Amino acid sequence: MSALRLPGRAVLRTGAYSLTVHRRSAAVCVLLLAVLLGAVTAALCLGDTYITFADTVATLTGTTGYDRTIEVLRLPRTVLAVAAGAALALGGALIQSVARNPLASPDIVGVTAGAGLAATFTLTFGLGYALLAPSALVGGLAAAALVLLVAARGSLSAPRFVLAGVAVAVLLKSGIQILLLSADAIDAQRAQIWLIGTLGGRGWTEAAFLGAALALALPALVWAQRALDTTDLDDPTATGIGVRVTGRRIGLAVLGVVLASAAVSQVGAVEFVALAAPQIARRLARTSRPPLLASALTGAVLLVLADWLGRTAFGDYQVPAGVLTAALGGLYLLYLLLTKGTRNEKKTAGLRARLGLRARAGRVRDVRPGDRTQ
Amino acid sequence: MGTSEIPAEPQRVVVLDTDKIDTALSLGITPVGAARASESELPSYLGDLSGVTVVGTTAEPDLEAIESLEPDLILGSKFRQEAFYDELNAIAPTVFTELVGLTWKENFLLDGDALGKADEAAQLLADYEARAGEIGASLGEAVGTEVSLVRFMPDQIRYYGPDSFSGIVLGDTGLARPELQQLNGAEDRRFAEVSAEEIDTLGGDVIFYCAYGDDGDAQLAEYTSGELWQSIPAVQSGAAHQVDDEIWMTGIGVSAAGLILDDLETYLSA
Repeated sequence: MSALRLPGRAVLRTGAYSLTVHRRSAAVCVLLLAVLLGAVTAALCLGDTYITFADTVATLTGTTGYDRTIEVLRLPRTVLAVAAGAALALGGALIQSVARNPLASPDIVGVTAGAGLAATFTLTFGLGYALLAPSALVGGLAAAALVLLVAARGSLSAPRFVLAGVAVAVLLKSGIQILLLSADAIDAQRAQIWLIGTLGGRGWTEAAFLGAALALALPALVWAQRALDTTDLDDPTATGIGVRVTGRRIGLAVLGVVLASAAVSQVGAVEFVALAAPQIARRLARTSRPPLLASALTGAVLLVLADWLGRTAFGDYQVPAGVLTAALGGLYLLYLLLTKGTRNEKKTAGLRARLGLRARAGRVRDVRPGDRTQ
Repeated sequence: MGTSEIPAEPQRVVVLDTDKIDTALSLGITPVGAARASESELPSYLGDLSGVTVVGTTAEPDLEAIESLEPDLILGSKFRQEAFYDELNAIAPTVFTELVGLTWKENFLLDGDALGKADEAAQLLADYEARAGEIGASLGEAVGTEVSLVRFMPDQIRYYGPDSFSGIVLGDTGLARPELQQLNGAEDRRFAEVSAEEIDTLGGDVIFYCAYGDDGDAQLAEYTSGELWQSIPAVQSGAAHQVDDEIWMTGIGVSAAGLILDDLETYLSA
């Protein structure tokens, strides 16, 4: 059997099945998992009351004097932060890949604005707290459906998708402003906090919902990881190698939108995780598109850190997580753009030149005659 | 929201809304912790509150700070802290009142009951109402004076109707209100917005005005020095008085109500 060597990839074989793994992505995932564990540990141990690591572990497995602090006040929102951060980042990674635009995030394609409008409506018209999350979920999905419908008139081409999203989002945001301006000050204030996004006062119910959503989406995500391999190709090339361009794009976009809507409905319009996490993960892994698992882990790390800092670092003032995700993610993305981004692009450019391949064709797997060695 | 077993005589009370700080201190209980309004510190009209730990804002309470105070009773507003009920109730028995302002007397009695001082609360409220009635009676003919309530917010100017806290206090004295400010027929008779170009239409023989927060103060300074405000008859005759926002607006409680009555005596009995 001929050995097929792929640059940067390791091949795993079990009987008749084989799987290629991008080595750097795998290493980055292990690293991110370690960082996530560190962030979760910090979020559980450090707060108004310092609880040692040993006591935290003892509390999680048995009963100590810290049961309430850990199991009521810290653990639920930390688990929720992991789930919501992962779901937001996955949504962002999928939407960015489909739109082939790193700026395309749930904020841009209308999900956040749709959920925000529905939540603001629920709060300012006093429809009751119980309806908040369901209405936000419906609002986010409805807005995204509208965007997809508009974009679908033209085979869902990437620029059309982004433009339709921007148009719908702007329209919905003006609706939010009208509601906020005409509402009672107190309702407007509650809506503002929801719009920024916070994990305060949220816990197991929201975490369970998102956990279930992520579990249900898992098979689709496995499909998506493979389907994403061809999203970088231009449409004629992809069609040429037998990809159903429009169907695949709709599938990926719907999956991304559903995950983002689910997350936003539970924690509010936490901005920037969905935009920054996939880009941070992509630069860490040095892949051409956002790697899904690494994106999810990055999103979880960002939201856990933002929530932990927000509730501990500013005295008695509880800063909503959404404020800090923007600050943390924005600064780190800037750092990556200013340093690693350029090096990475130079390196890829060099590689392309050596292989003598055109940029886009160079990213197709398994079809490079030059790579085959007997 | 649920039922809570509360201690007969709570010793360590945390209050999560401005009206409840007034309630606790009116009943002689100094809370161990209190949430502040987002635009201001704890109120100053209640005396020295330096022993009271600030536990976040009314909209975003700091749960771990509350927990570390080891309270035995938490008083809050459903309206503001509904999302936090489960966590709060895990820390200590939590009692929520439904609304703010409009039902301030009912809230005072409920919170008084939760604090184990139902009789004292009923007595304080009765004393206040009796005094309000006396002040009204002592005014004689002057009770027909139309009183205007104006508040400068950071982004708007409001006048306050008969269902607002200070509007209810004015009502208890029997003082008259300008036609516009009675908000007749409106669904929400607490307050309404007035455009800056129409502040001369609010009416009133006497005006009490105040400002919310630093941005509100800036608005107040700008508009009250303007020509339109200066053209109002009550302003020209020296019957416009700036009063403390903490007492007239955010205070909400029997102590604040008593201080409003003091202001009315000061400015109207002359």
